[in-house]
Amino acid sequence: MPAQLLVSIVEIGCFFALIALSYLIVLYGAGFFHFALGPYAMFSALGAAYWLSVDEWPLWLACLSGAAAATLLSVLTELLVVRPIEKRADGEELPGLIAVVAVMFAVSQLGGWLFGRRPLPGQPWIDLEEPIEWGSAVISGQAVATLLVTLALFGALAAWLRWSRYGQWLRAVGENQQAARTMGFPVARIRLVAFAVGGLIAGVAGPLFSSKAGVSFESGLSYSLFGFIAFVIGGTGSVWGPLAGGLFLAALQIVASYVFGSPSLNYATLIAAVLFFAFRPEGFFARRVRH
Amino acid sequence: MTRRSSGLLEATLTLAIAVAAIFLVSGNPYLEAVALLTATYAFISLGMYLPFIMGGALSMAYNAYLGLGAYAMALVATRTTWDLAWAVPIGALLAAAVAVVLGMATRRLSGFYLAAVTLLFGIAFSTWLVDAEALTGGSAGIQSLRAPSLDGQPVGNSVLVAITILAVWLVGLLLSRLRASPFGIVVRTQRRAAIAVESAGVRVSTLSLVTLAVGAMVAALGGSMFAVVNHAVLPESFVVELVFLTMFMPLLGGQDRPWGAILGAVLVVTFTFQLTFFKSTGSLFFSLAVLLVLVAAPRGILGYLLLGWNRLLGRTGGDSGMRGPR
Repeated sequence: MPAQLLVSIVEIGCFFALIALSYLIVLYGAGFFHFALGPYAMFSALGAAYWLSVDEWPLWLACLSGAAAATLLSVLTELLVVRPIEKRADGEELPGLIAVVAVMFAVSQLGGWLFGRRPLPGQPWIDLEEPIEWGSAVISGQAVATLLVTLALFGALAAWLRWSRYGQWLRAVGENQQAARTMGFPVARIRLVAFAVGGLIAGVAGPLFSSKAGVSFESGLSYSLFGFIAFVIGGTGSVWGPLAGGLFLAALQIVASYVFGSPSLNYATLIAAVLFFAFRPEGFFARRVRH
Repeated sequence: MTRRSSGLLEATLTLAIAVAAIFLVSGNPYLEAVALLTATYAFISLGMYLPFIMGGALSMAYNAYLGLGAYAMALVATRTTWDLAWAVPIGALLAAAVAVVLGMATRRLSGFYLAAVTLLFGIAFSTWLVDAEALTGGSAGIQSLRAPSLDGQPVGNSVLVAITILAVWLVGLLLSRLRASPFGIVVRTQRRAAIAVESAGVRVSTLSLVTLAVGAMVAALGGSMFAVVNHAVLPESFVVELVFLTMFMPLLGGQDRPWGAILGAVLVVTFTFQLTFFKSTGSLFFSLAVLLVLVAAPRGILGYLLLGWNRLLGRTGGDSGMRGPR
């Protein structure tokens, strides 16, 4: 297998891993699969690309604004949509699912309306004059940036969950909101923090990845799906589970399309999802505690 | 009003609307194309009504079922000399078979997991349509389908569109009857009380396979009609994004009756294709309207119309219940 494929696996795997990590944070803090995270990443990436190319903003400002917009969208989703609907749903899962799919659709359309419906290219965060040569492979500056940012975000989140007050509260609320409320945790605020942090991670991931693949207003759906599959494969037992899941899914997709041609990327993802959901729904890293 | 007479009123009133729609569009090729698109959306939305709105399972691979109906029609029309009417049951049975296999593969999944796998299936299907060139014609699709003929005379598009509209009406009526039947009540009950239904002797997993198969057949019927009127099929007509439009139609139109799904389809096509003001923003407007309905007006348009009608007649309660079976 050419070494170049490995570089691609790491780049794409890191992106899936970041989306999966944002799923994990929202699941921990709010007990909710936040399907709209993919469109947030798209919105952030498309917005950043638009501000870069049309308004000629500097790179840092464009990406920061994109990430801020994704965070804001995620917070608004919780406040305006998920919270009122879950309150009425009486423990049923379907209304929340329908609502978040509607948010997915709305955010994609909003992105297309604001930033145009044609695909835009992203810009690399690290632009090397000479790409690094590693055996037969060429490592771009952006591949290095993707890896570094991903590891930094995972490290920061692991530390936050472990040592910060909110990080610790997050898991208590996600596990059992009723019990957490009884014990006096500020549940509504903790949920909001979870949505904000999830949106922020997705908002960073989008512009980071778009310099490799470009982005269009329709990209959000596949971001959401692949991130979700990576998240399920990784499991919810560890913060590092999403990283394992993301790299595994990326490896599977890239090897499948290298060996069998590019259409098999989608077939392989479907087969992996069906097999994992049927035989190992808890993923690689399961929680050791029974509940 | 007795139940029988209110059923008769429902059937006559909706038939009158369907006939009016036929007279409105007949002879005008543009309006016929709009009506065909509306009917196609309505078929997908009606197909999802039984498993999704009544059964509570969000299976999303409906672009595949629509596509199977359409490609069955295209293949029968270009590669056989059979009567084109045969394509309808062939497409429906193919779609039902795929729905059952997918349903069995996902039988332990619900909610988000089910939505994710069925979406992936929908994406894989549209990839396959482009990929399997020998059978599907790849990205060029299948062109120049012959027109169906009756006694040696080709049947014109106006007649086909009229048949399609009547078929939408008939499926809507049948689903409305099915909803109120004992079968429909069991389907709606297992959504919230699966164990109770199971202990009453109904296998919930078999029940959901039946609803999925019926839903797939309805969507496939829509695909067959879409293909025969257009005389062509293209893979981009069957992308998974379609499902995002159709799954919200009954929510916008009103979920109490299948007619809400059809009303939703009419509204979507009107906003996205008809009114120039909304042309570029139609989908955004629709998605925001859906969110507004979900958060603030969960009965949907038809739900509130029925509620107002009942109030007007001085009836309270009645069948305004959104979820619980009567």
